Amino acid sequence: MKKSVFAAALAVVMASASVTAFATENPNHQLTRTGTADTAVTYDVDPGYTVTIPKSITLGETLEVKAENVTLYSYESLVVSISATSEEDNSFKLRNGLRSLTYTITKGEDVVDLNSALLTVGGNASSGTAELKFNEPETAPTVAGTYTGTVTFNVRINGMA
Amino acid sequence: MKKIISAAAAIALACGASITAFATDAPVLDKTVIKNVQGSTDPDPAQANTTVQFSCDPKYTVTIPKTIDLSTENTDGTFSGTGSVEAEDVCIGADQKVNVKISSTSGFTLSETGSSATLAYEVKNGTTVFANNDTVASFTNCESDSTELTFVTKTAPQYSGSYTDTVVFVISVGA
Amino acid sequence: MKKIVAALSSLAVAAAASVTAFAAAPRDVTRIDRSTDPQSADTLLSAEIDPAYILTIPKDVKVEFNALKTDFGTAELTQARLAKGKCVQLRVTADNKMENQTDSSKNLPYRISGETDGSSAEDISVTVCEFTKTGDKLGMFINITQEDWNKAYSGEYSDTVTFEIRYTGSQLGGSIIGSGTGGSDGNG
Repeated sequence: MKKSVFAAALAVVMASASVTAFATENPNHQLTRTGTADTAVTYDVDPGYTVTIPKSITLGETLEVKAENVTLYSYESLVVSISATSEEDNSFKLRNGLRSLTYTITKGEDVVDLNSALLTVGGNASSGTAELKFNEPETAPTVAGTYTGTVTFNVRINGMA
Repeated sequence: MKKIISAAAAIALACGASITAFATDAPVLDKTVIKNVQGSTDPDPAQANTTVQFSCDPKYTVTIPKTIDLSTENTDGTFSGTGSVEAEDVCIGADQKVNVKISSTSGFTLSETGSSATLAYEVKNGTTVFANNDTVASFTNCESDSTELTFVTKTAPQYSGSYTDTVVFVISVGA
Repeated sequence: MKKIVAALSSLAVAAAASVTAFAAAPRDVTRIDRSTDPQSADTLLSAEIDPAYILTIPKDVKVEFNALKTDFGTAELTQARLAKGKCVQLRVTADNKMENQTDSSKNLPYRISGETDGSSAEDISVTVCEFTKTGDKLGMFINITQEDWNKAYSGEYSDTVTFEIRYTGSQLGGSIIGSGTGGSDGNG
């Protein structure tokens, strides 16, 4: 059974409809005399969201995770986290052949850990952003070249049935 | 009895929940867009990979002495002096080195000012004697390093006087 | 028994080349990094070589009675590092007569001759000798004629020979014994 979700600004239109009576079965209100009938009109709003995440980032830059059009049940919240990296142990490392370097990600002054919530949108909020700083290594690498790796962002809904 | 009337398409209601539209959004090439409509996510699972990168440009600093004085008289009558070629902040390709070559247009010969007297000399590092245009120092990726070179006359000078020569150190990065 | 006393008017000393001492100073260097153009640096090599030499000269010599030619010894440049075109010049000064120790009015004439490889001088007191390289040597002899021996009164005779050494420009172009360009003062 489809549930009806009432958005905050949902307008319920009460319509007075005058109906011409027909002899055949009519699903509409049939009023043979002057009167009023209540018609409840509801609009079903499907849950959903749009999360936008940059496809690439360079150490030293800030990455923005954006959530928009978040429509959830009141007991639900949208959570974005980093669930994996290109490393087997999911550590924050970049590689250049046999060489590697370790980096950190911070949100404000807090160091980001794997699976920690980076962006949470819930309650009455319909959007949110999180800025994540991908920090350069404290010690400059001793071998020149381009070091690369990946992080996997995961979007989940907390509180889903 | 109340009945639910599904809103007709012709009825446009202003409400707080906006309808997410799919195909009319302009594609965002540098971003992954994860959408969820009616419980169905795209992509599925709702994940996005972000490539993280960092470029370390090659760099180094090599220090070459501007003058070297062969002022030490050795027991065999030869004269010698030393100078260090140093490298710091070396960050180059994995299998590369910063190489330093030495060259002398005179072929390692000091000339006396004001006369025709000459004095041949050698360039050494320990027991290794370098030829003209030899690589005298190589540095790999490390914090800092130095190579000490000794300049020594081949023989005891026959003539006194003021002798000079100029050598050129050339830096290159390679295998 | 005659003695010749050799004296020096100036000592030839072996002077080690003086080592120029520099006070500790900041290194004067050229720094080259990846952006430097050209990727090279010049270094000036310098060596200040001071002149130095050792000239050995004979000590006292004893002349035997009736000896016409007595080896007086050798003046030799045993070590030399001279500027090109310079020499160690030797001047021999002598009265050319030994004086009787009892009666100074009596004397025995002599002459100092010199010999090197390839040249000689009958009387080196009237000539300049130049030493330019290590190994240059001058053999010296006391020459007394038989006639002078025959005339000599008995007794002890002696004289002093003075060797004067200077570091100066060479005039002989490599020859050790010159010809009539030097000489002693007031000698016969």
